[in-house]
Amino acid sequence: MAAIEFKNVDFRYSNNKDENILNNVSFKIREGEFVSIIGGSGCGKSTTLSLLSGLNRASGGAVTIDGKTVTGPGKDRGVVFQHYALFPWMRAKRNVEFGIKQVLKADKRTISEKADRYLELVGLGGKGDLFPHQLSGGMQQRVAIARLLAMEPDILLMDEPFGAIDAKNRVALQELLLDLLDREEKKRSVVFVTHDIDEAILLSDRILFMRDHEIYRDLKVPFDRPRSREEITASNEYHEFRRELFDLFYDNDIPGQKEAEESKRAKVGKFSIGSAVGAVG
Amino acid sequence: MKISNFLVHILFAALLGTILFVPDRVEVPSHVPFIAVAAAAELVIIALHKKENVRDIGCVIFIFFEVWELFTSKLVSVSSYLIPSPENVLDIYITDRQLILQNIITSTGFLAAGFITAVLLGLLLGVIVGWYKGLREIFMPIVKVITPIPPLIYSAYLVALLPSFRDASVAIIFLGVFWGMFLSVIFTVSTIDKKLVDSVAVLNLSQPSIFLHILLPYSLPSVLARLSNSISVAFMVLISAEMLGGSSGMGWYIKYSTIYGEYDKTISGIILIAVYVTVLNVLINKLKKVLVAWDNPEEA
Repeated sequence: MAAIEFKNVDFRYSNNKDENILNNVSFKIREGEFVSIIGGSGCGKSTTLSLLSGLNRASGGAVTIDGKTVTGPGKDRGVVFQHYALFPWMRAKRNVEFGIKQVLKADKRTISEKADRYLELVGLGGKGDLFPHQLSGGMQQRVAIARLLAMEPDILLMDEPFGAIDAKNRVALQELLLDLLDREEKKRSVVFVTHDIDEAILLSDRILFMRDHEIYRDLKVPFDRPRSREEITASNEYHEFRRELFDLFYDNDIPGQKEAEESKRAKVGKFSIGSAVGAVG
Repeated sequence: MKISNFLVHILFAALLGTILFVPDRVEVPSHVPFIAVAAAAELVIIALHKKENVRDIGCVIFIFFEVWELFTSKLVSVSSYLIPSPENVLDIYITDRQLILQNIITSTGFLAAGFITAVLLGLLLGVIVGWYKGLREIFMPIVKVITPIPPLIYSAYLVALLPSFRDASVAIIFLGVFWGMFLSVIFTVSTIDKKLVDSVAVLNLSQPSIFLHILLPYSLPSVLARLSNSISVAFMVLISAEMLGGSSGMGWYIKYSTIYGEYDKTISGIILIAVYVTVLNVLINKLKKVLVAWDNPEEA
């Protein structure tokens, strides 16, 4: 069981009590559900994730997991960030082992075998002896995913994990994550922060769109699982849904930006995937 | 093929010719040690011949040897008291080897005790003080006042205060290295990337685990970067202390030989210290490569 609930959550930094970073945020995430949080820069999406990970505590309202208030980080949650996803002084395998050791009391051999298995799973078998700086950005995030899954948390929290990866590798990582989660017997709840509309549609069951420190829309993604990128992007439903999200992003936003993005989209082509809305995000 | 590629070998041959075939005008000990040193330098140059700067450095060394040899044993009719010949200087390493070895061991003992304690304690305390804001706010201003004090200022007082000269020397080396190391580690840990702190926090690590697995390795590159400088400071402080009030060690050896006008011993001592510090720096560089192999050279 790992049902998440935000109930009338407010958040303010202690050194700036006049400004609400989160304002009366309420939502529920069912066990096994994949929910993406999208929105422009500074809307509060990463803060929402930090409250859930236990790095920050709500100033008002309650954040609960299975009815218990979140008071700090816990073994039931695993987190991947965009930066410092791995410790640079540990080799790839050691990074995975280090994560496993935090949640599992077992002998060295068991931990080592488990780390090998998960590295294999993300396509990095044989790369365990390399240091992070010897791996590409995409490979580093694969190791981070291997560590996250090897720790077997009930809830996966991912804060723009593919944000710094080039478009080609980002697509590969999205598909890897989709594939791994579909294959796993245990259905984990996932909260995924991104500003990439296509990424959110491909991966999620639901999308929470945040604006001005609030949940502005809660949208169900109209595709069943398991899903493939080719199939969903070929459907009209995908483009309608994408358009709806796209309009949310640019509604009441900077004049001219929407036109610029549309013109860029026209040049790139109808089926371009992974077009991060970086100008806003 | 450019002539400059061969110049170093021509200079070596010329030096050999001078040593072997130009008659000595003053009495000097055996030429063999000097030939051996020159031949060793030539072998190193041959082994590293692809590096242009090695050949250039070799040229400078052989020209220096040539001039030294010519003006101390081949072209002068009276042996110089102040500038001994290379043969005389190298002969000291044979005739005085026991005393030299004993003094090197003494200096190394002082250096190891003071330096290693200072580095380890600086790292450990620096990590703790750097990590806890409350401690940092107390200690940072104090450390900033103490760090610039030249360690030799303490020497006379420490010799009086501590029971032996050995203890005083170790304490002076410790003070010369510790404060700089301590301040550097405090600064490194206090400016740790917030994103790294978050990555650590979500793993729910215990405090000892944070120190051991995160903060110590995180601080290591900056500690190792300071190490070459620190060892030079430590050695300078030690040699000065030995010259001021010691009764053994390389500093004492050089001072003692200078007082008695044995300048061949003085020069051999100075050369030995240069070689000793160079060897220590080479070892430190090897240590860096092993300990921070994970550090991306492009980001360094």
